[in-house]
Amino acid sequence: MENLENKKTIIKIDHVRKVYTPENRPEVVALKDVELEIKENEFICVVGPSGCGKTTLLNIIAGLEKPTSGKAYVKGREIQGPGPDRGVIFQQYALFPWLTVKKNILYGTKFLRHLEPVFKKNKETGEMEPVYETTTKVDENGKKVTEVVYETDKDGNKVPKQAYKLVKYSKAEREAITNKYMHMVRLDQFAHSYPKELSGGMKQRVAIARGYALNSDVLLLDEPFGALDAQTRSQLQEDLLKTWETEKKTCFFITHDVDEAVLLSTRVIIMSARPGVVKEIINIDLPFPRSQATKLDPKFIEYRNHIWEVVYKMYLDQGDH
Amino acid sequence: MEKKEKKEKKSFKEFKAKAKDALTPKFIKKREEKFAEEVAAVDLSRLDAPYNDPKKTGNTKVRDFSPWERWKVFLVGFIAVVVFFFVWWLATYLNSELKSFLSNPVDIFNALIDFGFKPDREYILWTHIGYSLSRVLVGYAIALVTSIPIAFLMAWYKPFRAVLDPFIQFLRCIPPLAYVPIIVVALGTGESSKYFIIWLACFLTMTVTIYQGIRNVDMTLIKASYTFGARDKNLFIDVVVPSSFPFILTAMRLGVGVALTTLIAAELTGGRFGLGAFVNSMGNVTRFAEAFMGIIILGAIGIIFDKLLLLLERRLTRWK
Repeated sequence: MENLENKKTIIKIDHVRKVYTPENRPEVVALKDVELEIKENEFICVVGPSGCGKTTLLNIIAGLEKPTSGKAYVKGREIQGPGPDRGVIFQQYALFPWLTVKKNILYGTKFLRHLEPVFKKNKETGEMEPVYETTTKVDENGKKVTEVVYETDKDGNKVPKQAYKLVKYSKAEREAITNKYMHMVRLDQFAHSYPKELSGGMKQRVAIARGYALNSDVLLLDEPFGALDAQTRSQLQEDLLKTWETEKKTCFFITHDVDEAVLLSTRVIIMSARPGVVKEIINIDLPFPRSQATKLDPKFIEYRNHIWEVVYKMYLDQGDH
Repeated sequence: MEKKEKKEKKSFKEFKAKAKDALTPKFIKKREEKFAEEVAAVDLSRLDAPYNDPKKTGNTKVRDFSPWERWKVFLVGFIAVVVFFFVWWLATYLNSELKSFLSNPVDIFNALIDFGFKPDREYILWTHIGYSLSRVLVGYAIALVTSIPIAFLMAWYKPFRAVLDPFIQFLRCIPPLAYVPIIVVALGTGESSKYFIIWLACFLTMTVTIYQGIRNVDMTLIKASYTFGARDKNLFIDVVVPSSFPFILTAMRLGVGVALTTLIAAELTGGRFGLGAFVNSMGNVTRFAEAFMGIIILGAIGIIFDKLLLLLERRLTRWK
C-alpha cells in the first residue's frame, strides 16, 4: 500500500455539518461533523444506508450545496460554488435531450479555460515578444512605478516571469477533446444520435465522457451505475477501472453496491445515517489492474463481508426499513 | 346414550392406533407412494387443454399493439366526416323542420359557390377571410412576441411573478365577449379593438403555458451546467430556452385555437367585414346555410394552422 501521508491532499472536509430545516417538520441532520481528507489519485467509494448524507457530501464537494457549518476545500481553496475543476456524473445522466451525443460532450467543454502565455507584437521589429508579469508600486515620491517580476529558474538564474492569461479553448481544440473521449467510451458511431435513442448504459457512457472531457483532477460520481442492469454495470465498472488507471483522477464515488465499492476503490468510506457520520474507513489493498475476476480473490471476499456486516448491522439498527 | 359413548370410545382407539402408525417410516413411505400414484394418475394434458384451445379461450388472435399507419388514420377520419355530412343531409332531407335551423350540406355548399366563386357577389367571401386572417395573425403575432419575454420574466424573477400572476389568473377565466363593450368605448370600432381582444386572449393562454414549461426545466441539467462552469446568463440561452422550446410550440398551437375562437367576439366590436361579422349578420337574419359556411371555413382555417404548426413542431423538436 502506498503511503497516503506523502501524497498531496486534493479534497479536505473540515468539520462539515449540514442541517436541513424543512417547513413544518423537525430538522434533519444530514451530516454531523464530518472530517475527511482525500489524497491525489485516490478512488474513494462511499457506502452507507439511504439517508446517511452521501449525496449531501458529494453536493458539498461539487459546490451545489453549502455546508451549515464547517468548510470544504479543493486543492487548498475553499469551495465557493460549482466549477469545471470538479466533474460531476449524476445518476440521472443529466444529458441535454436537445443535443446529440457529440454536442453534449462539446457543451461540457464550452466554458473551459486554460492558461496561455501572453505575447505581444513588437512594433519596430514586427516579431512576437513574450510579455512579463509586472507589479505596480508607489515609490518615495508618491509616483506609481511598474516593475517586472523576476523568478528563479531551475538553473538558479534570475529571469523575468512570463505572464499568463486565461483563454477559452478554440472550437477545434474542443472538437479534438470531444472526439478523444467519445472514442474512449466507444460511442463514435452514435455521435449524431439524440439521448432518447440510446440505452441507459450508453447514456451513462456519454455522461462519463463528458465528465472526463472537463479534464479536471476530481471526478464526483453519484451512484452512476445505480439505474443500470447487472451486465451493463459490470461492463461499465471495468471501463471505469481502465480509464482510471490510464488517466489517474481523484474519484469520489457513491454507491449502494458493496461489491462495486470494493472492486473500484482504494479506500471505502462507510457512513451511518441519522446523523450522517463517517463510521469507518477501510483501505482496500487489492492489486491493480483489477477486473471482475478480482471478485474471486479471497481478500476481496474478506473486505466485502466485513463491509457488508457493518452496513447490514446499521440497516438493522435503523429499524425503519 | 350408551351407544354413542361406545362409538366414541371405539373411534378414539382407532385414532390412537393410526397415530402410532403415522410416525413409523413404513407408514410414511406408504403414504408417499400413494401420493406419487395419485400424481401419476392426473392427466396433465387435460389441464392444459382449455388453455391451448383457441376456440375455448377466445384467444384466436395475437394482440396487435402496433400503431396504425398514418394513411389509415386519415382514411378513417375522412370516412367519418363523409358519413357525418351524409347523416346531416339525410336528416334535413327527411325532416324539413330540422332543415329550418340545421340548414343542409347541399345548401351550405351552394352558399360557398355563391359567395366565393360568383362575380355577381364580388367574391365577397375572400374579403371576409382576408380581414379575419389579418386580424388573427396580427393579434396572434403580437401575443407571441409579448408572451415569451413575459413568461420568462415571470419564471425568472419572483417579484415579477408575484405582481402579474393574480391578474393573469383572474383575466384568464373571463370570456373575451364580456369586455367587448368596454373595448369598443376605449378603442373604437376599428381594427385596433379587434387586435386587442385577440391579443389579450392569446397572450393569457400562451403566457401561462410557456411559464409552466420554463418552471419544468430539469434541475439536474441546470446543476450539470453549473459544474461545467456556466454562469446564470449562459444558463438562460443554453438550458432554459431550449428545454422550454417544446412548450413554446405547444403554446403556439393553443394560441391559434384561442385566436380563432375569439375572432367572433372580436368582430362583435363592429365593422362590415370579417368571417365573425359575416356569421353574426347571417345568423341574425336566419340565413343559417351562410352562417354554417362561415363557421366551417373558420374551423378549416384552424385545422390548417394547427397542421402547419404540428409540422413545425415535428421538424424542430425531433429530439423529444
